[in-house]
Amino acid sequence: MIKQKAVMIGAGLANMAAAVYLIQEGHWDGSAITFYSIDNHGSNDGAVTAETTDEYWNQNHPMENSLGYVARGGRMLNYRTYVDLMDLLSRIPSATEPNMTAAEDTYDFDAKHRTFDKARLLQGGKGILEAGKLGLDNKDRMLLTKLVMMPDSQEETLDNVSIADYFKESPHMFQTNFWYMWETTFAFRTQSSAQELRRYMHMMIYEFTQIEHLVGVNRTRYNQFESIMLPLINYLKEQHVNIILNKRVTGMTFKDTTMGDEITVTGLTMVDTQTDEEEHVEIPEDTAVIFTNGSITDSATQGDMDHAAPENTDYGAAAGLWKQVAGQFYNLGNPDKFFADRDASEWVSFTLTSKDHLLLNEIARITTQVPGNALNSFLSTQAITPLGQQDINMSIVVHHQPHFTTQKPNETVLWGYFLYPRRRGEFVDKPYIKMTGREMAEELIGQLSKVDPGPVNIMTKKDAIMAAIINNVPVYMPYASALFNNRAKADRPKVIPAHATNLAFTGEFVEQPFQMIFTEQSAVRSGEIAAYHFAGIPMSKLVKTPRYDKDLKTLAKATKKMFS
Amino acid sequence: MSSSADSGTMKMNLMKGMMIMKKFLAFTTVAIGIAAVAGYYTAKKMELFVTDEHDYDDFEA
Repeated sequence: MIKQKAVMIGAGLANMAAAVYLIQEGHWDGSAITFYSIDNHGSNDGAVTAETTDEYWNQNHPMENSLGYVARGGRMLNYRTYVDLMDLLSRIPSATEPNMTAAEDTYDFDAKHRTFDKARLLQGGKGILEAGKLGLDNKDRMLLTKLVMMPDSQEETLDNVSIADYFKESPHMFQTNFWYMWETTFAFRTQSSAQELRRYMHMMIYEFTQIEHLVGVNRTRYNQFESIMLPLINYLKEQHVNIILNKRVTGMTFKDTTMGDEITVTGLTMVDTQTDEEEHVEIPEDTAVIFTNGSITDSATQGDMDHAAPENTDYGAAAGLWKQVAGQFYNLGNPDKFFADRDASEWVSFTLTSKDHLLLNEIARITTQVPGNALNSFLSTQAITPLGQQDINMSIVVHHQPHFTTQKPNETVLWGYFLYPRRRGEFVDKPYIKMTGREMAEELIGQLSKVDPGPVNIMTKKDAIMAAIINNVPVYMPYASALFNNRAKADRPKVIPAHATNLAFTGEFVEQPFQMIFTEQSAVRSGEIAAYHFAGIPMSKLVKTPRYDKDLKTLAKATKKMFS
Repeated sequence: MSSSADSGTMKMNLMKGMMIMKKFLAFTTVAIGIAAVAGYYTAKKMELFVTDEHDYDDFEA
């Protein structure tokens, strides 16, 4: 239904995209759009640590050391397939580079700093592994081929099938270089959805052919707050969009109808997160409600150099509202599939800030690559999985420096994560989730020492490296991979659910054709769809999605790669 | 050997060669044909020819 105004619940990428499209394609006035949100970045955060301590999820967990920087996660882009994201960024000015759009900014940076990963996988005793040899056997190939051959119309045969279920006839899959790279590049877990794996295989089939070098990975100049969110915020503010922060929407009221299936939002209840005051906002007939119904960084907590990140057991702000809404209708999905199974979705990241380049130089020496956006994963030498297999201990991303605009020239920032945070460290004998920032840094140095080709091992410089660390901020994210949780197609609401007159869903927990999630791309597209719907723009005007999974040349290359 | 016997042998060899060539061509044609049909049906099963033209019909205002 066509509307004249919009209320956005959540100020993450998806809803900011919706606002841009409403203004530029729908020709709406910016003042017709109002955001209510806890913060202004969603999962695309990146800031001086001290600026994050008062944020909603950190208020109850004060930090002793708030020096350095923190970015809870980071995203690798792919120009070839992230067409909606690049379209969005081409419409707004960069926040850091004058006379460039945000798209031109990233194209410019990426052209000068192409990704070519030379040390994607490392292992003690072997150093850099030949990751290009995927290690698949015929059974693995057959199962992967089945996934690639499965058309969109048969996707529902993978309802409630986990990756572990799908490959149960070939657990060998989980000991291949392919899997080690796949799980750590995209943060899939064995409990994750095979339906989503299939979408990834289809959408990223081109990159499958060059997965070990990450040649298709493109990156933003700085962290994703400064390179993506800030340009959006600046643009929307200039357009007089109302962005009201520190508001947590806790409930929606709906119109009573005879059949009970019409979905018309009549009001919102929200709480001010600073004052705890509750307020109710009426939703008039001319107003759409565009709701980001889940966040992978909800309930995230931070530690510091000498404190582990505490575990927050809250359900999740956006997901809690989704649950309240979904409980009133049959077709709005099942939030519990994503937010009531932390074992399937949790992981821990860390952002390490150092006052010199010693650690970075050592990593560059060991991995033989200059700092700049590669992803390195350390494979265990012992069996560490329930199936008695080896697996990745930890992964790091060494950004091109500076990663933050306010970084001093001598400072360096790098990021890392532990995909299975309940496993124990090899050098610090405790679960990763219980480690302080200091202990995580020691674990990293230990892992580097195992793969160090010498002649002078990094361990001899450990004291100097540790002394130079300003802070290392562990971040516990219980829902980091929740969007990959095992699901049935009906577990996520459609962007525009059937019978919805003024409500749309956006973000990473919605159902839309073909798109894979945990990318900036699908979030933007969901916002685009919501905007086009309420502005009355035909869906035929959506940015065209390239289908490399239907390109014979790409399919042939992928087949060849499978046999490498 | 007489020249007429030579040309007779040559003719026979030529005819043999042509028969082998014909059989080979027939075999290759059939093999390519089978591969093409198999490829076509595989592509159809994978819905390679199906476009996403109506994928977003549900979201039209």
